[in-house]
Amino acid sequence: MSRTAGLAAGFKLGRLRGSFLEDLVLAVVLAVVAAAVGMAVRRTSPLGAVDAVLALGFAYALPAVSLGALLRTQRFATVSEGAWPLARFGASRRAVSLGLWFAAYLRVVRLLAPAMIVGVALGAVDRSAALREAAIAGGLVMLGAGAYVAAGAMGATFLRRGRGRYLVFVLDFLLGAGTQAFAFPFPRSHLSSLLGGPAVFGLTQRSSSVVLASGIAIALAVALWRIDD
Amino acid sequence: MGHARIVGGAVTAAEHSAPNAPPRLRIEAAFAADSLGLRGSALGRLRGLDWSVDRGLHAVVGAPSDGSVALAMVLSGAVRPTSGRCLLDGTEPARSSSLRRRIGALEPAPSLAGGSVRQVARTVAALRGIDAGAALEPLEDLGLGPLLDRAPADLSFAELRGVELGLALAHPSPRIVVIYEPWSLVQGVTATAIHERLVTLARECCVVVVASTASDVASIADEVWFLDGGRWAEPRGGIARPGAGAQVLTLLVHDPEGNVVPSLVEAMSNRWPQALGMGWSSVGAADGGLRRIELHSADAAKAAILATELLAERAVDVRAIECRPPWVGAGLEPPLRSSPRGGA
Repeated sequence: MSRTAGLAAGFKLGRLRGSFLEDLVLAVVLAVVAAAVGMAVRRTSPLGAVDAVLALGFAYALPAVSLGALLRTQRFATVSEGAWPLARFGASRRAVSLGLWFAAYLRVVRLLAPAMIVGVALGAVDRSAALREAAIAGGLVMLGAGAYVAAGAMGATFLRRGRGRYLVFVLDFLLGAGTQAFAFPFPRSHLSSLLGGPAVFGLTQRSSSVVLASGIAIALAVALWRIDD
Repeated sequence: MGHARIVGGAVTAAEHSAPNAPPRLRIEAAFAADSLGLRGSALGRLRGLDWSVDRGLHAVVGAPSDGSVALAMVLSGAVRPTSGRCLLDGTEPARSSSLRRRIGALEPAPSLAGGSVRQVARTVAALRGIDAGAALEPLEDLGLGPLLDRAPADLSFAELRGVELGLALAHPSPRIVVIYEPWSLVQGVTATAIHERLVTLARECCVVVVASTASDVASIADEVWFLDGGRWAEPRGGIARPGAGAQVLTLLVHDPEGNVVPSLVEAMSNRWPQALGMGWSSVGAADGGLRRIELHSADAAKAAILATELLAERAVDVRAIECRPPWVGAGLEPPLRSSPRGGA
């Protein structure tokens, strides 16, 4: 079986480990919360509504949903154990794991992108710019979800039962809030910069985007290197 | 299938492979642990296990605490030894997906995933590079037809194990088949079908059956190995180390003079050389002449029958009989004195 087929089988397994109804309910809840925050803040502080929605979504919801999706697709186990139902019959663990991570990534995007788009669209004062801002928010969800899923996948290859993934998210929450060297490796700092926050290590927004994209590639490479075929 | 015979802690094969051919399966000083205990802890460990076997049916008898689960997981490629190696045809199963395609395994914990058993079988067929129809037919032949359209998530533990056993036994060209407890908690496949298929497979490849009692495997295995504390049970005076993959039958006998028990234990050891060890001790000073006899064996049922026959023949006053795994209450009893055969 080719690695492509293993990846496809892993992706299918990852989708099976989710629940469409559960995802739908969660996506609706997130969208309603984002819309409510956007509209509520716009009444008191019209110019801060979009920022409030984005801050809530990217600082808290995105890491939490990413961690949840990873745990769900990997069955709260190590990367190897998560891929074992297919790997035991001869599929490559690496290919299956990539498929699982991709399923987790799509799940995060599916859950959060609509919420961010709805929240930004309803919170924006300038209706003509609302669509553009919503599209940017959707794009950042795609980039941020990739960064968090890749970081979590890499973390899951460390410590017993893949507990390193928790460490990654805790460190991101604690250290990623800054703008200095400690914050550099973590997605939170660069996402904050892309949302209009302070620059990380003096990097431009374009550079932060490149760092995030490179981080995804590096984290996935480390994760794949850490697991047996 | 050759007739099995005992040498020390293991029963060696009557059939041998070519003298210069490398063994198909080789484990070298392997240390490994399973992860099926509470919160991923280990039920048991392998502690420097060495093993070389080739084609044939090899039975490993041992409790999970002796490392039987860890051994099954190492052989199937689920776990890589933390030290040492497990090589199948020179390659580690845990590191080679192409090798795992040629492994049929019934693992201690089921891990099937898919929309239905039929879909799982099709995926497995694709992974093994065989036609889906050719994969489904043997499953139906084994009696798993009624389960094919059910979702793995809706199957009971025993049904899941039945399906996994079917998938392992239906492998068209395995290099090794590793089966953990094929006659325990398995539903959907008959014992006869399991027996026949294992014997057929053993003619073509290396079949390892891991079980907790020897009675299930002794009749079909070429070799029977006993795991004890993560290593092979070592022979001592003709009888292997007590407790090796065994259950313990304890008898409390009233023998105030102390002359009945030694002859009884000697008679037991003479009548049943398969016993792994036996011995006796006084229960205490103010016991009124009670003696405790312990019989370590891989098959507690046979041990109980033997003991009952002898006790009845000699009209011994028995106060209690208890059967328990060797690890329960270990170290709480006073030390046993050796039997005349030196087993305890």
